Amino acid sequence: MRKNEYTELINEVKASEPLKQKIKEKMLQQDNMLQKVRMLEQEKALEQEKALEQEKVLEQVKALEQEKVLHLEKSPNKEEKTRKPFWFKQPMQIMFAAMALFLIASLTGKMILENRNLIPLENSHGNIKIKYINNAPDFKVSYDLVYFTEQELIQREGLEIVKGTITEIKNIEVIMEGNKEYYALASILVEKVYQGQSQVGDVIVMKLPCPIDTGVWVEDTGIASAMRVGMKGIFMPFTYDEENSFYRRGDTTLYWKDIVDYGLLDGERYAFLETPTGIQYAEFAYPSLEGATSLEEIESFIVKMLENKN
Amino acid sequence: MINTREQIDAVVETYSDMIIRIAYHNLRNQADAEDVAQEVFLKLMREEEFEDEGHRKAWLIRVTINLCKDMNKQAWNRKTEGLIETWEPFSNEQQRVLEELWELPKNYRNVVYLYYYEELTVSEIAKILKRKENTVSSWLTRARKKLKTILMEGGYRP
Repeated sequence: MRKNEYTELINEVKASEPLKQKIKEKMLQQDNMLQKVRMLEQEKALEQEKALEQEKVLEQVKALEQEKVLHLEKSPNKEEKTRKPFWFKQPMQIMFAAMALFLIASLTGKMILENRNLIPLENSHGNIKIKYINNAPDFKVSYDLVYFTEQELIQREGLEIVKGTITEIKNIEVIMEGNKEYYALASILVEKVYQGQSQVGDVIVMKLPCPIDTGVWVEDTGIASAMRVGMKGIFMPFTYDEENSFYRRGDTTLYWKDIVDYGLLDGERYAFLETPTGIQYAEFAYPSLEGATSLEEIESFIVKMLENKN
Repeated sequence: MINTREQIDAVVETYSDMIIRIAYHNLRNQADAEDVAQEVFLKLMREEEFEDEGHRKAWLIRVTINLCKDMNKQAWNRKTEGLIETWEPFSNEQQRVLEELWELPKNYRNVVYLYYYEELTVSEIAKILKRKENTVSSWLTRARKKLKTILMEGGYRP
């Protein structure tokens, strides 16, 4: 079998015209379909492109928003807004800070109050502090009274002898060299002057050897301890001077004149009180006044004694 | 890309006979060959671009042979493998020769057709069939000998 013989044979095998037409039609149909498909694909692609563009825009917007958020988070204002409150995060620190503030405030307040109650001292020096107090601690003090006669008591030099009414009593705490002592300052509205520089209507302030109306019991201060605001009496305080009236403990010296002009030399023998229960005075020291029941009787006695002095 | 009426007409007129012949060589059935031909052209529509006309032709041959293989793999065709439907215009003598040709293995048939009728070189056939050139040469030699024997025994004398 030669080539031409073979080709002649195969030449008979051909695509018929109807087949060709059929194929062409199908190809055209497919082409139309493909074109539609391509159009749809193009539309889809365009939509996808638009969607992608929108996504990109959205991403850019998000990125910008995130940047903005980050920027705001970094800014102090945002930090204040977004962070948990300090007292929520650091309760211990807040508690300690509050306690510290409370302690500081307490100490400061105490210091302010103490300073306000402190009595300024002009001449006194050393380790000394005197302040007004409401109550003295419970303790006992004992004095040994030196015996004096009636004349020696009344005719003693330096006494201011007046009749008057107690208008005010303040307790004081004297701290010298770390040692605490308690006294009271009594204000007297002068109604009559038997001896001294004061005048009727003056208010003289005298130191009492004990605090008043506290738990303190001071021996030989019975009369002074009985003093109350509103009581009348005859008072014979000693007039302090700036040089000689001082109280010394160690290197510390207290000049009484810095705080008061007068002072009772003891709590028994330099005052005669008109109390609701009657006249109170140191009966043991004034035998001439035995049986006296009024200030007038005492006043007469004192006037007589002063006249004898002169 | 084929997307105009003129392009469709041209490609069908140029390659339809070739595709039918290859399909007929492989399927021995006119109707199946026509179905394959339609499918090949529809596939061609979906192809984007070819480097040149030679590339297009080689692509059509390869796709046709592959579609024929696919069709032969189908269960129904495997069962009817022995049935031979002769081409209508063939004379009785020609039909007998064709039947002798179909006695050759499929690969031999394709090589003979591509070499003698399409006048492709051994190298080109090897590329289309994705075989080594030596293999194609061997198939061609064997096909010639067998075909000669068959035809001699059949007493065919053109």
